[in-house]
Amino acid sequence: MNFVRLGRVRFLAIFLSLWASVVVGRLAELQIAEGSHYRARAQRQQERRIEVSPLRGSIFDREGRPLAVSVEASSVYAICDEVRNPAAAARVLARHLDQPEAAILARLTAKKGFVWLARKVDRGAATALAAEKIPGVHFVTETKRSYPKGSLAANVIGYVGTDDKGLGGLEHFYDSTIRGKPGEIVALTDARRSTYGQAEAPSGKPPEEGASLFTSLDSGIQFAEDAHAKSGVAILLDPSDGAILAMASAPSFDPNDYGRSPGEDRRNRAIADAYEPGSTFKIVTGSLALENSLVTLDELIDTGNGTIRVGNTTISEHDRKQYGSLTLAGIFEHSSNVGIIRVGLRLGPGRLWQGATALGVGRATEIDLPGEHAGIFRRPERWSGLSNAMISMGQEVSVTPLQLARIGAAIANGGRLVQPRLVRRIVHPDGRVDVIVPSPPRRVLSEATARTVRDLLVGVVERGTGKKAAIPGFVVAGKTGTAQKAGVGGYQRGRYVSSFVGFAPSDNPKIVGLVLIEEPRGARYYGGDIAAPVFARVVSQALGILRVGPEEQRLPETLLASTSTEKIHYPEGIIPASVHSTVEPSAGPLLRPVEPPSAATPDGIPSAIGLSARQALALLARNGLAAQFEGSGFVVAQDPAPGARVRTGSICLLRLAEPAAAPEAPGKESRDRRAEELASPPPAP
Amino acid sequence: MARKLATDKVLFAPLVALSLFGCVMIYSASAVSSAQTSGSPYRYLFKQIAALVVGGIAAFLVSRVDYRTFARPWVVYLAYGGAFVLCVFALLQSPINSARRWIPVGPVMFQPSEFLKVALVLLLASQIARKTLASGDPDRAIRPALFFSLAASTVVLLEPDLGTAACYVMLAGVLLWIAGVRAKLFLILGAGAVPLVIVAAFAASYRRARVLSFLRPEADPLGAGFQALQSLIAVGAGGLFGNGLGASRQKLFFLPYPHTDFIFAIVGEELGFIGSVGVIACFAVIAWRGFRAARRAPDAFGGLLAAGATAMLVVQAAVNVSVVLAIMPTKGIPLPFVSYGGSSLVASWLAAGLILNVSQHEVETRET
Repeated sequence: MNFVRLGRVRFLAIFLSLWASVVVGRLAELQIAEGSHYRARAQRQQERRIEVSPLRGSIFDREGRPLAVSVEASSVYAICDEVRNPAAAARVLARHLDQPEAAILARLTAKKGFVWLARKVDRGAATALAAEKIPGVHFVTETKRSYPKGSLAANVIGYVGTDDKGLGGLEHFYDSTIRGKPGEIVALTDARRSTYGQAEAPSGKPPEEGASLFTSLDSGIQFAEDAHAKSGVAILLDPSDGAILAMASAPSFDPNDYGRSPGEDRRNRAIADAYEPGSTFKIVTGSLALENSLVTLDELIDTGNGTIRVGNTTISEHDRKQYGSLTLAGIFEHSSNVGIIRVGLRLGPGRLWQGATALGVGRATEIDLPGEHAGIFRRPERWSGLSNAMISMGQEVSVTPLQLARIGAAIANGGRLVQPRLVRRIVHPDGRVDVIVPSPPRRVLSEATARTVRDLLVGVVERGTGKKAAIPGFVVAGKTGTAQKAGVGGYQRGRYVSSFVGFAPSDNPKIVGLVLIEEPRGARYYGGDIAAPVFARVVSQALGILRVGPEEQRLPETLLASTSTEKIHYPEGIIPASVHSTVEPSAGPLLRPVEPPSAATPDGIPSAIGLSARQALALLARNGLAAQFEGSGFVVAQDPAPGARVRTGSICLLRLAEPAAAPEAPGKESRDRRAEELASPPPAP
Repeated sequence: MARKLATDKVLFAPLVALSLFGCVMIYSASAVSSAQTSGSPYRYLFKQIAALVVGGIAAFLVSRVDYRTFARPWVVYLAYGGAFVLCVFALLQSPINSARRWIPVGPVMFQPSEFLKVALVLLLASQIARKTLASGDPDRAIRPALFFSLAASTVVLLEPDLGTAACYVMLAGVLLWIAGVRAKLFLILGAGAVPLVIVAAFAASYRRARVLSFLRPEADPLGAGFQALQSLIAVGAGGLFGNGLGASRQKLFFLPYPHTDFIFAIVGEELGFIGSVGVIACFAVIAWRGFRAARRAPDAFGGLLAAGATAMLVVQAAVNVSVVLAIMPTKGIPLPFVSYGGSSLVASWLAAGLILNVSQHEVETRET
């Protein structure tokens, strides 16, 4: 017989079976039904995502010279629990990291876990420190921004914070483009947060390098910082497309060590500050009056006794001189306040406001830089009775230096408002290139007006207040400006802003330059004395760097010696033989449409007789020949003679002469004549 | 009338399998923390292997002696009395983790309450068998059974160790049930025990926290619910097939006691649903063969001994797994053969030896 009853055992067995099935059901619930939930939860607590900073893209100048690059640097941190002897460690660390020992010791003992000791130290120091093998001291590779040109264009390029974020200038404006995408290392970690390995590849991702910027800046153009002023701005731009060749703001700073400079020095005054332009604004008033046919070049405008009464206010000339009656040219050359006010009053508030606004006054240029000031230009509804007069001479209106330079560019390029631009190309790490196309220039003045004003500005430099802006070998156009700084309770005596805006060469402007000097120290403060010489220095240097030849030098000897044809800007009328497509026979009214007579003559030099210099050059170039000119006008003789057989690359000497009955056209000749007229002294009052 | 049979290989196989598997899992779960605390990753593994050798020899010896020898009063009282006195002696030791459960013997921490489980099974089986045979009424055995089990429970409650105390009461209940005590009396005893259990569960603040955190483990994920939550994360992360042997991440200090009471969570994480069910299947086989031996035992003592020893192993396993899966509040009951712990392993093998012993004896008359 059995002593243990079947029923009792069976009951126990059933009870335990039920229990087991509950357990297995629970296992199925946890591991199968909710497995992914718990797996995700486990990963959350077991994995630690460590961000890997991407390599920031570089910034280059127009010649491909680096302005900002990222280099790898080591950052040093400590896990304080692991540091066995904090005092000894602090001593060694202080020696290598150039920090006070007490400060390091304080950091090592203040917390238990992770603490930064030094961010982005240079390789040498990191290697030396690593060799010390201090327990608990670790290294991580980060990238460090480096600016090889130091403070050059620092206010434009900007700088980068410790966390690799662009904090100013291009670095800020294009931050999302050049920063790249951070990668991730997924490290496995235990409950004590110490990592012990790397997770499977799919969960991590490598950092993506940022794109590089190719700017229009030319780092060869240097600015000497003027210590004799509170601040200064210089801008050089290409009037044809608004490309910024140089932009300097003083005081500047070293972006490699931006923390040591006050925030004030990091501002880009060329775009962030608005100044009352003073007399340079007369360009605007004059242009608009000409555009609206409210003044002619030969009209005499009475400047009276050197004062003008507007409402209850009497405005006088800047130097209290009396000029008598002046032409518009005279007004520009003498920078006559009374004269320009008379012109400006003819415009009236409506046309002045509208026209100036069209020229970009009071409107941001939308350059690719952060923090641009739009300037201050009130609507006519809010003008006082005095405003029309004041604005005509550049007061009661504020513009940024860049806005003023852009107005200069509009005169230089024949009446079109360009959009200033720094970055021309964005090159992505995969080789993709985004070419930045600036918005097309907008016509704001007729070509005739622009040309006339250009000649007025040539007069200012040749005979007027801007004589010190002259550059030997070039015809320079420009306007001076001197503004008293406005402060509490009116204009402040002794605090001036001197400026000069101009361009060169005048007949085919390659560079528009603006120089603005705030609060120059010393007796002189006129724009013509302070800013104009700086303009001359900077622009002449830039012309050399951009290889713009002097206008007088019609036949450069070294023309064929140069191989790098693309980077050279040849003076008008001179085209090297190897350049084929730059000249079109139909350009300009001076060029009569002439069929190239013997372009396809394979058996000798074609005849250039009767062609203009340009056309002759183009013809010879097509046949693989260079040209040398004598005289001016049209080709009357050539050597070797037409039909002669010469080797490719030979030089053909062309004699030019003015034909007796050259067709009269509003070209260079007539402009020259008008310039002569303008040069004649205005009649005495 | 009784005949001697060969060792029950079907029972022996899961015992050996679980023990060896336990060694592997203990190494997996403890290597990192062992290396950090003692410098060697093998510390727990080696101790477990040593205990396994001792347990195996003990089980072999126990299974060789005729089990009726163990029914003798001097054996029974010596075993129970000895283990009881050692439990009292443990109370005099300096506490480890604020519990006085262990007696240090050289490098080994000896836990007498584990041996008291076996001794109690022995004592209760002999007591109940004698009373039942003498009077023919199993109800008569209730009083001594309750006395000895509650005495044992009281001493371990002082350690404090509620889990083991409950285990003693459970053993008395199972043996009385098997002996045929009337179901009505169980209901009465059970009704009387409920308030006691509630009082015991809430008397100590840590137990109250355990119960409350069991009811709502997410309420305090970093405090009282931490262990249960980490256990669930480990088991759940294992999925169907697990992360692979040795690939547990939860053992890296997320889950407390990964090599002792919560080793089943590491099994779940590394071997998944398949591995976990395998472990449960092993215990199912033990239950089946153990109760089978009890049913077929040639006398009351043998039947009760086998049933009690089987219950001791299987119910502990069920409770341990239930705790790991958060079906029950945290108890402090190891998983027999698998969890790290020399005393538990040796005691479990002693119990196994008793079952194996009884299984070799069978009544001739078989039921149809």
